[in-house]
Amino acid sequence: MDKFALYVPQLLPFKEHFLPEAHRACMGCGIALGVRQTYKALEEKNEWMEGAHWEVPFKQPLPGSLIKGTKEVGEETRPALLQIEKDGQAHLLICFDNEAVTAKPTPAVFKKAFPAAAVARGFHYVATACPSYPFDLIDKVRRGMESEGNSYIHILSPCPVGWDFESEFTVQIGRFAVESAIFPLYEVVTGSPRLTIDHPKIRPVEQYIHLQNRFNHFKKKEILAIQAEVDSHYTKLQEGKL
Amino acid sequence: MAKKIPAAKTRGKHTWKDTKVGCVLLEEGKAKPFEPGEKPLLVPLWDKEMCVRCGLCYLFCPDAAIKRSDDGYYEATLDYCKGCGICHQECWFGAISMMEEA
Ligand code: SF4
Ligand code: SF4
Repeated sequence: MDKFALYVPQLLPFKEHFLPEAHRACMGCGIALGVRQTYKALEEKNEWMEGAHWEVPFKQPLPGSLIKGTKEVGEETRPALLQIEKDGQAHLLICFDNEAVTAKPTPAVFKKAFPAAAVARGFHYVATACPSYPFDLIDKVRRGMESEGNSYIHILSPCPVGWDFESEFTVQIGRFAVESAIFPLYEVVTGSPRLTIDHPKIRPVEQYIHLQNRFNHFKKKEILAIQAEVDSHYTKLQEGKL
Repeated sequence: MAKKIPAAKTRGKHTWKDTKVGCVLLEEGKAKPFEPGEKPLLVPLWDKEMCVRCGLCYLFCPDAAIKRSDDGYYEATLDYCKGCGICHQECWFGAISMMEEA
């Protein structure tokens, strides 16, 4: 890393729109971190952000929805999508994914579906991001805001309670997810994905899985199967296919 | 002799319909009127000799508790710090240690 790149946080606006007194997130919440960084990106671009604080449309999955699968999540977001298509205006749709709404924790399969579906629906700008890479996230939100058509951003937000790890590792686990290619960071502008962060050396998926107690039931065979799937997805992305 | 319990003044007026629904937030940002709760068990303490004033800790705090003071060093507002330890984990220079508050 460049010696001066370390000081880049100082270039961001210091003003907070995301106020600590107005939200009730748990300690070390990945969603809160993601929302805060998103607000930093949107700042100065939108006057409507003034005074918005935490008071934004924000839907939280209820504990009862733990048993729901991808299909139900799709049905919940359908009214929003229909509204977007009706409006005729460009929208920015951001999904904060804390992986709470899966029937079984299956880390690799679930996440491909959403960006791919957004591309199939004709979104102009589709990207994945993670708050462990703040500048990448901020870049993508700004680009999504500037794009002429609709844009969709899928943000992985680690959840210390749901994933069962110590709260201080929130940022590190997000980094592990990206380094092990289980959640690759890419953006799709003209139909073909481009990796924005491409690590020369990919971690084994096992390291990411062993950090979290929710995956304690995984056996060696299952981890190998996940590894194979992640590898094939990642090589596809490197070739420019979704 | 046991005292007579006075009848509740509101009896007859206050019905179940007036009772507030628990655990449901009907509007956003409703935590604002409340006081911040207890202090966390462990709070971050800055070692100014090791800190290079880069601002990474400020960027990674999920609760926006870390503020920049005038001399360029960073400090946590303990009212809003939840003691998660992300700043301690993410500081490259090991300038933050999590301590019990004196
Ligand atoms: S991350 Fe560490 S070195 Fe950088 S400003 Fe915070 S305490 Fe100082
Ligand atoms: S311990 Fe957590 S909440 Fe407190 S200042 Fe550090 S990052 Fe922010």
